[in-house]
Amino acid sequence: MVSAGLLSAGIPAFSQEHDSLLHLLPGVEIKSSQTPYSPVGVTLDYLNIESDYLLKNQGNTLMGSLEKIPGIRALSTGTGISKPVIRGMSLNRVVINEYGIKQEGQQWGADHGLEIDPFNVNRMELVKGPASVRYGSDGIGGVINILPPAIPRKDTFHAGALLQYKSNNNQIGTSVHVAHNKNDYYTLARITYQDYGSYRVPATSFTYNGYRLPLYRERLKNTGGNELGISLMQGIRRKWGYSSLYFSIYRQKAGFFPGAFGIPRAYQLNDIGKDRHVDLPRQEVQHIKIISNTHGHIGNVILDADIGWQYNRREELSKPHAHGNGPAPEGERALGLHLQTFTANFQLQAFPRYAFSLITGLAMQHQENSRDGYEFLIPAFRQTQAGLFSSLKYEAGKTTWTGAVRADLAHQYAPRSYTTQYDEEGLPSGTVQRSPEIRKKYINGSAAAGFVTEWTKNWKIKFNAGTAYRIPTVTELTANGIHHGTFRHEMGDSTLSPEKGYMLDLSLSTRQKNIQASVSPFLNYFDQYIYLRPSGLFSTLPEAGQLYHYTAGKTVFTGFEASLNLFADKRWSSLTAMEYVWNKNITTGIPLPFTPPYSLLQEFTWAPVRFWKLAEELQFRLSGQYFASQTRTDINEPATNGYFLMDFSTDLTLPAGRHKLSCHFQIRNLLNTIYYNNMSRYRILELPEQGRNIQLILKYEL
Amino acid sequence: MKKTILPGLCLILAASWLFQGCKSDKEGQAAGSKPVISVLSQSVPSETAEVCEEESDNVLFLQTGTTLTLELKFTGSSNLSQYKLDVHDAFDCHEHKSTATPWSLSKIRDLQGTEATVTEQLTVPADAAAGNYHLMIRAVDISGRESEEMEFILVITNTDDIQKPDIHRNTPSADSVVMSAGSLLEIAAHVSDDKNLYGGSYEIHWKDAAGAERELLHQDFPNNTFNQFNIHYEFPIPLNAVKGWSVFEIHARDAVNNPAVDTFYVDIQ
Repeated sequence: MVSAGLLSAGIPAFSQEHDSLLHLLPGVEIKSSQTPYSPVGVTLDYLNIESDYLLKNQGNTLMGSLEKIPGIRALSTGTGISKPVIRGMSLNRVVINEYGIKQEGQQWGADHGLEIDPFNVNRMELVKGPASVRYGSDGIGGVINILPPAIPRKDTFHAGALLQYKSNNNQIGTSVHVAHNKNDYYTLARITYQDYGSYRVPATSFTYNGYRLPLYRERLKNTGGNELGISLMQGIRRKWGYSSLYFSIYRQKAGFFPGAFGIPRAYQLNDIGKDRHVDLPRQEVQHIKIISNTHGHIGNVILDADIGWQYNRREELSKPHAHGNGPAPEGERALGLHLQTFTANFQLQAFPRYAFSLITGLAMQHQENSRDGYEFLIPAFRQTQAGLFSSLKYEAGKTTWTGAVRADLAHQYAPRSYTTQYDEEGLPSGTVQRSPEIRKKYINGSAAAGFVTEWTKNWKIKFNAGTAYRIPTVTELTANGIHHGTFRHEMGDSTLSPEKGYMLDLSLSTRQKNIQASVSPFLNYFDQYIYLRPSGLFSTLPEAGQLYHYTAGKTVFTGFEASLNLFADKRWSSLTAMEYVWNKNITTGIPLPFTPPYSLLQEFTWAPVRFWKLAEELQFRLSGQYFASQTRTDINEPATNGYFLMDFSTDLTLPAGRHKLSCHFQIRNLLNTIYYNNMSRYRILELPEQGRNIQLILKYEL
Repeated sequence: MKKTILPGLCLILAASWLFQGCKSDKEGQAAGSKPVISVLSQSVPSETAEVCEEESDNVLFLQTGTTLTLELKFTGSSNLSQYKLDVHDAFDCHEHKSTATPWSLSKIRDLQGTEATVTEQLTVPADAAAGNYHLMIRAVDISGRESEEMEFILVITNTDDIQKPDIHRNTPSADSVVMSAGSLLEIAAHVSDDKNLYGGSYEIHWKDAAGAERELLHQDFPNNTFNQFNIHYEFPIPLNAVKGWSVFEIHARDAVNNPAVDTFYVDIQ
């Protein structure tokens, strides 16, 4: 086993734990014996995933590739945009770290994607449950840690290339990478480009508000896009540890179905015959990152310093349209948001090899946001946060105890914002205030404790109790504008206080000769859960619909994930996994929006390796996933019927001397099922989801 | 193998049935239903007509200066809160800007109780631009449940000028011509109207054989125009133009926005 990367010196007692969880997923290769990267993760449900798993289960996006994991879903807009949902929580409630630095874009938007090159993810760790005590504000639903790739072995050179094709939207993609190490000075570089057309749905029309609207050639017009990812890492490894500098740039251009902006009308949906042309409305995103990671050890102390700068530019473009008295705006940029984030995290780990160990860290972040475009939604702002945390671990026989505390400070500032007002003649008549001045300070303490124990032979119990918190985002405090598409006039509330949660997590797992099984129930209570709720009043802006306010309510979340892995013999195995989330705003008695329905996955794998000795790996998988209907919906959120999807996949790896050729073939939505997904942005338009998709990835490694 | 899989599957099936049972509780949104809007009477009858390439059965033909009276009934499962009326233009379906002032209205009124009947009188301004408009009526109840949008398509003609302009194309004189990519397409047309053209505009659109649409020209009639105007435009057909039949349209709108279209076809080779 190769032990590489962060915290590799720590806590060997947990390697077994790690293995048992990994086995619950088919196709996951165990290459490292790391313990969880996040120290609080030990007593939570966590999972390590390698790039191989992502290729074998590749969905439309990075999050789409993780959707077979119980407890993980994606909130998606078409095929190119999606963001993680962990146990029904999303947006700013899931922390995504790349190389120790929290990814910061405009996470509050449901149709804003996760702006990361999916092929540049080598290893990732998923932690379900409260991680605020380690990651500060936002770590409520869980954490996705994208870990740095393993450092290439001394004096070696590796290169690889992959080609990808997806039939449904004629997606083509390629990614090329090199890894070089000379005398422990190492370089890793990658370039990825993906281009896709409008996607196909198994329907020729859809019905919206009594109108029957066409879907020419069974395609959703203008849902194509492209993305580019370039990254470069340079580092040095010495006896004291290692240090690296990482640069990455990600660009995406993705079209939106024109019917999703305002009321869909037949004339917008005319077939223009060009599936790859990304027209208006669309979004253009650029994310640039520079990250420095340093990891060193002196005696019984391990030091980590992660420093980063990132810049996220988001532009939403749509045809200018006159509203009310004013003239039609100039240009196509409806909304431009530019967010800069500086992050510095320091962590000290003492006595990592002893029964009693301590981790202390300081995390700091500063953000500056500016805006432009002809629509107003959120103001420019500045936000600074700092947190100090400490966690203890104590191993006593078969039981490991953990405890952690954290103190956080945060400050937000947004100036008063105005937009021009027009009189009946269409002339500017002054300005109107759109958002108030915000000056807010927050002080918060959080704590968590838990244990993991070997109950009897082959049975393990984990328990964690903790508090989680999240400061309201500037959007939740100040938004005031019509969110494109929904007609809703979204309004912030500058008096909102932080969201606080109390969370209990339990996990029971067993590993027998032919069986591995686990069940992980959870119970969360929030006394200030913030989300958009209807006000029962109309917006006075012309053509706008109802006012939606960011409102806090007492909420309860509960549910579980369970999985059962059976190994019949060396060739046959079966995986069964399910998840369920139940939630309710107990102030109103109404469920929360975008709650994943109960789902049940059954997957059979046949790996006849013995027959074909030529192949390093050969497996066939057939899976069926049932999603129950979701009738527990928020006001104005339609109920969604249940559906059943089937997937088939084959993975083949051929060694050719020092080289390796692998082929990943998948047919997703094998039966071309017509279904609606309540986690999709296009659900409200009554648009069915993507039809059958035949995918092929060819990967060559040298 | 079967020994372990079968009991496992039974267990899972049992669990999923159990869940279906648990999930039948209908609360929250399902506990109430959307407010419903119905029209008890209307002073102008709804007609079926094709507007914007779409056949609609809720088209109202109106003239400027006249009044549309609607008697509306709102019904909710809980107490109603408000209704909103919006009128906005949808000229030529492509949201083009017009030089005449379009009619625009946005009105919110409070409602009480679970049932309410109101009479709305909407007078089309005398100087409103002629063309297609949308009238949208929406309602919400106090817990925020939204009604479906009720929509009328208003086709408004201006009483001062009912006649649309006349487009007489001189070049090309035939309705369909064959041309090669790279050559120069000359377009010449004479526009006339019974009233004033100044205040209106003219456009030339091109839709290539692949269906991509472009606006080649968009000009306001110059201020010395009365009711006659000559359009002259030269379009070099791009060398990389998609081969096959493409569609050209000459659009003209008079001072009150009455639209006219002339179409011809060019086979690009």
